[in-house]
Amino acid sequence: MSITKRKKIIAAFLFLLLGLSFFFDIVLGSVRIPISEALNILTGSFSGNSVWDTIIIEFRIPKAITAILAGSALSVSGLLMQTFFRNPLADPFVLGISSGASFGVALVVLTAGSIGINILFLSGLLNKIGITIAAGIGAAVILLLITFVSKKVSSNITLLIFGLMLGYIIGALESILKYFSSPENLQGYVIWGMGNFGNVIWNDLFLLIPIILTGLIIAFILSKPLNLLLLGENYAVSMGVNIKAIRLLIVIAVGILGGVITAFCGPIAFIGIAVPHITRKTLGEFDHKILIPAVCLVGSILALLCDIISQLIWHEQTIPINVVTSLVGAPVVIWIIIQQRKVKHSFAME
Amino acid sequence: MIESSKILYTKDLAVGYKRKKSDAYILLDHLNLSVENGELICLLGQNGFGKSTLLRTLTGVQKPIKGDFFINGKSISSYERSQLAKVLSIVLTENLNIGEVSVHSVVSMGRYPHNNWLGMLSGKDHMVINNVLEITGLSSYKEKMFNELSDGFKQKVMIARALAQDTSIILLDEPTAFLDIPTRIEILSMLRSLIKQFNKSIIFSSHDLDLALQTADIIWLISKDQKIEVGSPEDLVLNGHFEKAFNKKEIKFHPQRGIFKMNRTADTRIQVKGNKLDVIWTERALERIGIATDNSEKSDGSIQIENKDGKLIWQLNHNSQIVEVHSIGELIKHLKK
Repeated sequence: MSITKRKKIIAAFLFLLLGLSFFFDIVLGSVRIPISEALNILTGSFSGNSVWDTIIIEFRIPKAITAILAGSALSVSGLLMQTFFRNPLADPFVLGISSGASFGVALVVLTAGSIGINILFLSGLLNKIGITIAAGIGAAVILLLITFVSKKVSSNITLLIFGLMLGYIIGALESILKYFSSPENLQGYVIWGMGNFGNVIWNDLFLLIPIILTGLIIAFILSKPLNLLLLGENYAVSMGVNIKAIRLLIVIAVGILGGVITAFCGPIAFIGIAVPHITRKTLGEFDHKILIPAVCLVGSILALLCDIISQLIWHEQTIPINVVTSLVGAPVVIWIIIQQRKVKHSFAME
Repeated sequence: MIESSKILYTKDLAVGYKRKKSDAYILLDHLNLSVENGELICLLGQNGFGKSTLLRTLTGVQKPIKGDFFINGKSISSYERSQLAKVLSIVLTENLNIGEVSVHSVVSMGRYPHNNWLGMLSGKDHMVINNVLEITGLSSYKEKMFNELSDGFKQKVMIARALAQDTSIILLDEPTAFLDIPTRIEILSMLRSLIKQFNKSIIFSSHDLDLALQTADIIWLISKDQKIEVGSPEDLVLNGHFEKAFNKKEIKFHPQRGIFKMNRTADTRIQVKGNKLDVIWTERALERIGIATDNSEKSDGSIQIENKDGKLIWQLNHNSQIVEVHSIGELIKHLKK
């Protein structure tokens, strides 16, 4: 079987898997809805039960779409960061980008009462725009900091530790904010921090979809320079890559993708680091113009599956999505570290 | 010489490091170098004298401290990165590790400066890539994963990629630094043959003196006074520039052989007689332990090498003792006593 044929089969299989997981994410949940009725609702005709209609149309479909957006956005930002830092362990969560975004959110949410604007957490589009911008800025600032430090330290592990420490510092600052915030704000923030695809309603999607698409398109446009960056910055520059412009665009793309998803869904762990590795291994592919759509696919499937699992463990209640992604993703990271010797072949580890 | 026949020339170029404030630390100054079509140039010099800095400046990564240089008659400062990528390619010393990338894919990246924003390969690109793979002897390896190759092969692939980039100049920074001797020779003779076939100009840096002497048309020799001596290798040996550039207390350039030797003063002198080849290698061994060969009567002893029934015998006459040994190793043991 030729390589291209194999890749086509894998692609077809992934699309099928995406469809199935999308469907089951909608069908399964704390309220049992028969599959036939769910199908009816999905195909546009209503079921006999208006509660079911509401649950599926107003709640589960936006949640599934959000899972797809989050899975794609986090995976693509993980891929961008892994290529850019030439570090197999880079992703928005590990290197503190999510923490930066969280801090932006914390600033907005936790001080909400104290600066006189009394708004319920995550209600109102205006508030969401504010949170989104704060998260995006927080993410971009941390990413710039990491980029700066990556010039100074040669070791990937050092950079990783720096990211973790940065996460702790931001966590400490967050604790201070939490300490002084009102109980209502705090509760909202803590629940947000557990991660959830279900906070997003249709109105939010009209904001979220174009933003995420913009980020993904920027990433896709960067395919060619990203491929060249695999050979290292020096070779990339020698083949005509304008490194400063590319660096800025990568920071913008990761800021948008990582920051915005964090704002809407909370910090989601490990999808960004795990998906690019799984995809590269399965496809045996390096070319970013194929990898970027592919990690979107795999990331969406993984996010949907994690969401399904989060609803299945307890029938009555859903468990936080972060619990599931950590259980799925952390072993992948451990596997990467154990395979360090082999990973060295995937990236130049000085 | 007409200026236009030069692919690259420097005008009063100074290279070095910019310090934090205004002052710069100059490593090489007043450089007026030129490169013509089809020249294989080796940049030689001791570490820390500015080899890499000069190469980095010539690749446009680092700005000149003073002066300017011109590629195809156009000042480097007026080149866009994407334009420069079409006239100048580089090969670095670093040992690359990249993910799931085949040899063919790495070489095809060389076409990126020439193709569209997505890096799609045109018919011409495919032709160039296949041609380059053929010439560099990589055709049968093109489906192999880059990471599975030996260091020497990886370096060949990177050179093939530079060829696919189809530039008139290729700069190589210590392309053979981490390779074993046979592979070094292979890489350098590959460069030699590329010059012939493609009429390219190649500049490579090295501190591998004897290989450079054998390969390069022209040597750029960094001297100790921030200058570069230019000439054919043989001229630079004869006019003593090599000695000046490299001689240190412990090391001495040997102009007859074109190599460096440890500089040791011999306190013992011994006369060696026998078959010419046997004498040469015996002398080398003696040299190593600090004994000079002297064929005059003043010597402190003598060695006679004889061939008895296909077996070599060394007869050592030293300190009024006569010893017969069957190998140079034994001979050395005796002399060390």
